[in-house]
This record gives sequence, C-alpha cells and structure tokens, in this order.
Amino acid sequence: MSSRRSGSRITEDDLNELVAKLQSLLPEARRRSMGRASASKLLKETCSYIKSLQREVGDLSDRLSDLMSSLDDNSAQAELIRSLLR
Amino acid sequence: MQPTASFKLAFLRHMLAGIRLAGGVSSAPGMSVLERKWAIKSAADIAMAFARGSRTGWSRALVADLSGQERNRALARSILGREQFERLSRPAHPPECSLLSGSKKILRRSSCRVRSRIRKRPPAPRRATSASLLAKRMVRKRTQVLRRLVPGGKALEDDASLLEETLDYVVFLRAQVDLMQHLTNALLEPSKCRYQY
Repeated sequence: MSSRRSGSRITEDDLNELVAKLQSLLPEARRRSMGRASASKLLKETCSYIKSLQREVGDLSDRLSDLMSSLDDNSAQAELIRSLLR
Repeated sequence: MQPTASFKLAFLRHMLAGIRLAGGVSSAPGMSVLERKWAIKSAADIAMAFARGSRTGWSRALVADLSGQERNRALARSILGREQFERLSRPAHPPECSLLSGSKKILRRSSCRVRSRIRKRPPAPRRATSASLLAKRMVRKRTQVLRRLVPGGKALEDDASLLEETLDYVVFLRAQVDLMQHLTNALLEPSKCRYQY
C-alpha cells in the first residue's frame, strides 16, 4: 500500500502524507467542523467517524436481520437471493 | 487502495452466504432474534475481512477475533469454505507484518492489561503545562482510542503503521456500509435494484 520499505525509519514527510490522506478521508461536514486541523483534532474526528461507521454496520445488520426473518419462501426477495447465490 | 469491483463482489457473495446460513427463518429456525442479528453482523465482518484479504493487519485481526469465539468458527468456515478460512486465519509471514510471534503478542497484550489495571495513576501535581505538552498528551490519548477502534490496532508497533492501517480500514469500512445499504435496498425493492460496480 505504501512505498515505504519495511524496517526503514518513517520520515517527517511520510507522516505528513499519512496525516493529509487521513484528513481527506473524512467527509466534508466533519472536515469543516474541525476548523484549523491539528493532529489531536484529526485523531478525534477519525475516531468519531470510525465509531459512527461501525454503528451504521450494526444498524444495517439489524435491518437485514429483520428483513430476512420477514421473508417468506416464495417472495421476490427470496428469489433474488437464491439467484444471486447460484 | 480503493475498493475494487472484485472486492465488492466478493463481499456481497460472502455476505449473502452468511445471510442464507444465519438469517433465514427457514434455514435457521432455532435462532433467537438476537442470535440472528449477531450472526448477520459477524457475517458482514467476515465478508469484509475476507474480501480485503490477508495483506492488511486489520483484516487478519478481524478474522482472528471472530474465529476466537467457537460459535463464530463454524459460521466462518461455512461461509468461506474450509480452505479459505484456514488460509485467512493462518498468521501471515510477509516482511511488512509485525515480527512479534503470536505468543509474544498475547503475552504483551495481557501484561499491558494487567499493568493498567494494577497501576492507579496518583493525582498529578498541579502545575502550569505548556500548550504543546497538553497537545502531545491529547495526541497520545487519542492514539490509544484509535488503537482500540481499528482491529489489530493494539498490536501495531508504531504510530505510522497505525495510521496506514486506519486509512485502509476506513476506506473499506465505508464500502461495507455502502454495500450493506445497497443490499438492504435491493431486498426491499428488488425491481428497482440498480448498482454500478
């Protein structure tokens, strides 16, 4: 993924590049709310972002689970799943 | 690294297999609601980790964590197939991976936990702290939080590796959310199903 050779010291530039990439990953709204970016603010927003994404996965899993349990064998959805799994 | 079409397909394929095994009322009649929810969440994580492959620490850690629980092993093996499950849960040996052996990692992790439990920090003497010192402390604290959030983060040796893993993990976490959303929509309205791979 990175061009850094294993075992070599990480340079200041490498670190800055990683930090910049991390900042660009955050959605626009979060980046704006950060104001002037500092390492600590960036870390805080990243952690908060990861937590919200993980929560979304949990919510979607719940929804899928509810959906699945309400499917009956003859529905279009059941057929869709069967066809996708073939 | 960005999610490729092959990642998305691999994720969906395994996600669907997991749903079929764990989610359907007819396929798993004895399951409670909570068990089904957990099983689907586990299937989503296994699918994501497997679709990513064994080249990133977080995907390997996710499989290791999930298969640590016995009930997950059977599910993971069924979804991935025996050969692929075994390949992914085997520790990787590429040079970029941490040189710590598995046992050392476990020792280090458990001793860290014990140490932090026993040592109660005495109240720090009140004195004027410079802004930069405070900033450093905040960075350290928040780096710790990040380590807990990213699978396998605690075992990463340096902060640069942590940042690299975080970058990759966030990208694929987003893809996971996106794909699960589309899957849900497809199930709700199969006739309107449209997705660009």
